[in-house]
Amino acid sequence: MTARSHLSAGFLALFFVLLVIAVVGGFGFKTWLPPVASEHGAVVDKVIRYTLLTTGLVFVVGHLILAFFIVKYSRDERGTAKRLSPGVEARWALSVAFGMSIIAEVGVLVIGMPAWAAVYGEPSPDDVVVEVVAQQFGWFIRYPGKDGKFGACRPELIRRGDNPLGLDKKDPASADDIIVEDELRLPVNKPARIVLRSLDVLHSFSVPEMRVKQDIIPGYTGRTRFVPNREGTYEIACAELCGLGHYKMRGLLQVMAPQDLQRWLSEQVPAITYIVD
Amino acid sequence: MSHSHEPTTFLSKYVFSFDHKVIGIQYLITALFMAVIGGLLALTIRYQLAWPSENVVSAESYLSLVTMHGTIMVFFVISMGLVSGFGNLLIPLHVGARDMAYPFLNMLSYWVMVPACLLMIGSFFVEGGAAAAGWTAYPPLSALKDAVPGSGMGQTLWLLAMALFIVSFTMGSLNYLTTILNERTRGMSMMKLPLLTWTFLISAIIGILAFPALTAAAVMLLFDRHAGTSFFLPAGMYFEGTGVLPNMGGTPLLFQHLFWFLGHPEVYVLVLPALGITFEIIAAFGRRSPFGYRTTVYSLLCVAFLSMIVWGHHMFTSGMDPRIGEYFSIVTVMITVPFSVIGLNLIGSLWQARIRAETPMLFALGVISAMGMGGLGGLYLGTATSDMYFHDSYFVVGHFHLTIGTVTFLALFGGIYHWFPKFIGRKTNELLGKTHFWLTIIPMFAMFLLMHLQGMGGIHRRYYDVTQYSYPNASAMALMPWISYLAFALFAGQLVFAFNVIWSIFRGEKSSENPWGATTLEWTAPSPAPHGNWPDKVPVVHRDPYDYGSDGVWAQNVENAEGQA
Amino acid sequence: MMKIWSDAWVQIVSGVFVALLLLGCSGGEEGDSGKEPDQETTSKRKAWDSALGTATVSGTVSFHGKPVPSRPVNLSKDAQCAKQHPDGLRDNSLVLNSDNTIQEVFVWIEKGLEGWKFPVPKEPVILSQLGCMYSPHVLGVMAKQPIQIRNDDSAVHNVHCLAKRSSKFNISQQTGATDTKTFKRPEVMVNLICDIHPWMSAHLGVLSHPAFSVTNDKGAFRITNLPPGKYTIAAWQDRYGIQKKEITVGDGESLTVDFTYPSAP
Repeated sequence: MTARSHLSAGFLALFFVLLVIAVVGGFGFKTWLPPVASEHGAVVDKVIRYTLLTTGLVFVVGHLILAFFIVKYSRDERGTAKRLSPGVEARWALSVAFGMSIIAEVGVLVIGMPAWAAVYGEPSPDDVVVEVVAQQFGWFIRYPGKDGKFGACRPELIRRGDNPLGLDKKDPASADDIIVEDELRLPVNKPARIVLRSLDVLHSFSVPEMRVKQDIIPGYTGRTRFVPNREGTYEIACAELCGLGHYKMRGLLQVMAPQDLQRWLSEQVPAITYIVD
Repeated sequence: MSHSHEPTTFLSKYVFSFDHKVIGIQYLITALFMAVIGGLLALTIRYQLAWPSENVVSAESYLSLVTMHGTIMVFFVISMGLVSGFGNLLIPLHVGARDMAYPFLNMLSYWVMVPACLLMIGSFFVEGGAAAAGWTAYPPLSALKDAVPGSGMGQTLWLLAMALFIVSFTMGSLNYLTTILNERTRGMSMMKLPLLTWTFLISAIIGILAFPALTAAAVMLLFDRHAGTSFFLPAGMYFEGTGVLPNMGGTPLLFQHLFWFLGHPEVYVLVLPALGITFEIIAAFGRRSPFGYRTTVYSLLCVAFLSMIVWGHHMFTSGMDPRIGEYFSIVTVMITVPFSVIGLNLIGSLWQARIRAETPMLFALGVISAMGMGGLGGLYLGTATSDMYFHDSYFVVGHFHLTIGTVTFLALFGGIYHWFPKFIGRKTNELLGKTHFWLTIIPMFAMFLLMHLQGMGGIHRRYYDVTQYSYPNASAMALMPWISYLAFALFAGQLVFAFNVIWSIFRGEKSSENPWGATTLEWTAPSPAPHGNWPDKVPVVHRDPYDYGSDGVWAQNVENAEGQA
Repeated sequence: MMKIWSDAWVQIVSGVFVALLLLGCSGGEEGDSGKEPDQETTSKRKAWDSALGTATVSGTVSFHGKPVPSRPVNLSKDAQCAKQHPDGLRDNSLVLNSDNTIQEVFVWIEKGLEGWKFPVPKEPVILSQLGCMYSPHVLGVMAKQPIQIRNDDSAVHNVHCLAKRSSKFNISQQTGATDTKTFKRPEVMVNLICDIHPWMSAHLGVLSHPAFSVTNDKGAFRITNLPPGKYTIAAWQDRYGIQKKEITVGDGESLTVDFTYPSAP
């Protein structure tokens, strides 16, 4: 009975040591994050690395102590069952709690806050403004055109074939709006302000490489802001369950040189061209 | 008193019983039955995820599976097994009462839960299938038939089942609260309560405060669905074929706030009793008083308070005001404070202990590890900035499966092994128990830790087919089938548990009154405990709940040599 | 103690009451649509005598003027679809032939056949999903006639039926999947879409008789086997909607009726 109990305790301690090795190896020695491609994304990664380091340390120390106690105190059948005074116990508890809260709040406030502010802070007039409208199960991308203004959209004008966003032809701001599907093009190294709308249910605009994720609420105009700093093509995913095609709601984000974007924009036909009266 | 007229008919003894032990076992059996269903749903989900090209289910059924797996596991397995099951079994025995304060209400709460289970299971068979809007049931998806096939009758049944569940759970919580506060035996002061009873008390309080928010949300959602109201539905929603919906003025965010106002405290409703069970087992098998009884109690109270003001951390990316997001982030990571105290106390309870590593103890030690990992993983999600990346990814899935999945299941199993002799009168088989432990903890830990890595790799949750995307880390994608193999292994391992339990009921080694040498009051009653719990007088408490000394062990009812506690 | 018991009872009874009430409401909704009188199939109507069907109506549908260009469709979201259309795809709500006649216009007898009860064919109409398009894009079917919807594509689709008079459905279909559906009541037009590929749509004219036709690649339609009499003939075009004309045909007569969109010149 006792021998078997020792054996089990030993196995469990060994399991915890192996767990430590596996977790440290798994999280510490391999980069799982897709390579970052935005300015604030670097800060997000810094928060993640900081958290990995600190929680990793606590995890390792905690589990090694756990394993050690299991081995050590399962051997001594007689034992002392010594107890500390409640005051000493409380002091232990409070010092650990204090240390942990410092670790946690540093992550939130000192490192994390600047990135949060960059995404949600005040918009600047230099921002490139693009509207992304989500619908089951795709994305519409709207550029305001030369006037820099989005034309009015009315849901009662929506027609799938020729006017998917319900663009109002009567609004002069609509005249040069460009609408494309599923492909967002942004200039590199310029702050992009994405205006987010949904036609039907909840969606979420997620570009993992940009470290951007923002739910889109029907009835609201939301926004997110980031500075893509690496040219290339990235995938846009929907991150909020939106129906049976949720997993298929894939869009593309192309980050390109500003002059390439200008050229592409100049080739596009304004959306009102296609609208049948 | 109810114990004076012992039930005589089969119906009153085993079916509509007022006896808290029978009701507790009824709850446990129902919960384990629902766990089998929840587990089978999980296996189907895992099969689809690992081998999406085989299309074992359709996309709409997949969403139903995900929704129902979550709902069943959280509410109908863990809440029901851990809180309703063990709470009923142990609270009267722990406080030295003959039964719950309201035995009839107790019976009623179980028999309200039964139709809730039936409605939940039945919803699979209605047109459009079971609810498919996720266990969080966010509108508009859950409010509109046009939005997703499961949002027809399936969602209505889901809401009704949840309403019944809440009614039942509230009856249970009121009973716990009253019993713990009013039915304590002589000498049982609040600071002499076993820690498990403290956790039941606190989770009952949290439940009573938080569940009404979900009740309100469910009723409002039912009205939005069937009466044309717009609590959660804004103006201008457009659906092909229906056109612009007439709703206006509502907001889906309101539902999210109401849901998580329950949803987050619910986590602690589940986790605290799991930690309570762990403290009981560690005290009994470490033969040492838990480190810092008082700091633990204060930490539990602190967790209860904090749990009510942090719900917004589920909504960092939801589009609510980013300044509120920062507030929620700051208070959320403050939960580290009470939890690091509890964690330290759990580990500290092993210091200078005299550990017997038998089955319940193995599970309890597993809980400490799982709680540690789950808690630390929470920091990534509680920090708003990193949550921007991790939200709705497999990191979240891994995280909550470690906390409200692994912690609670390990505690549930540990608790069953620990108290089996008390309620059945026989011990479970030790070798089978240990085998079950290893077959449980290895796949569970591996599965959910690997999910964290997948989340780091950027894989989104609730995807029918993750291979549609090429951005995630290739190694993270390659883990998919391995996690599924582990899930199958985990499920298969539970057959050992099923066999052990059934075999031990009939053939297990006969148990004495106090097989583990534990100190709390339930071990002073006969095994199995009779109707009314103690054949003669109710015990009187003279001692702390865990009076383990270097020279002996004393149950709570043993009179002190000096005649005082 | 008694008081608490009775409180619990109140809770239960009210809970069950609310539950029944809500079940009743939702059940009632379904029930109502089921009980709606089905005028077209009432037993008052005479069984169809095929010997009477001697007249024929035919004609062409053409476009007048310069059409608004069709919106280009972006296929990049699904590589399986993009592969099959290297030159891209445009919105197909107006398909013109080289001679400015319009393809895929649904033409049917709207009024004049109410007195007859036509046999419903047992063989199914086939609606295929191929090349990330519904094929055919416009088709006619009789109420209660089976319609076989199948996915002959390499991509996954969902078939979302937006019927208003028959029951709606929304099912996903893997490659090779087949589902057979019927429409209970006549309805022109029933729209079927795929939510995954928003450019996909099919339009079904569901009728209680077989007197319908869809214009071909010459813009021509032909409705045969009509008994002599007065009719309203109607045409439906995806973009421009419905036009109607009154006609009278004699025994064995062949009548020509032409339609012009956007509107009569």
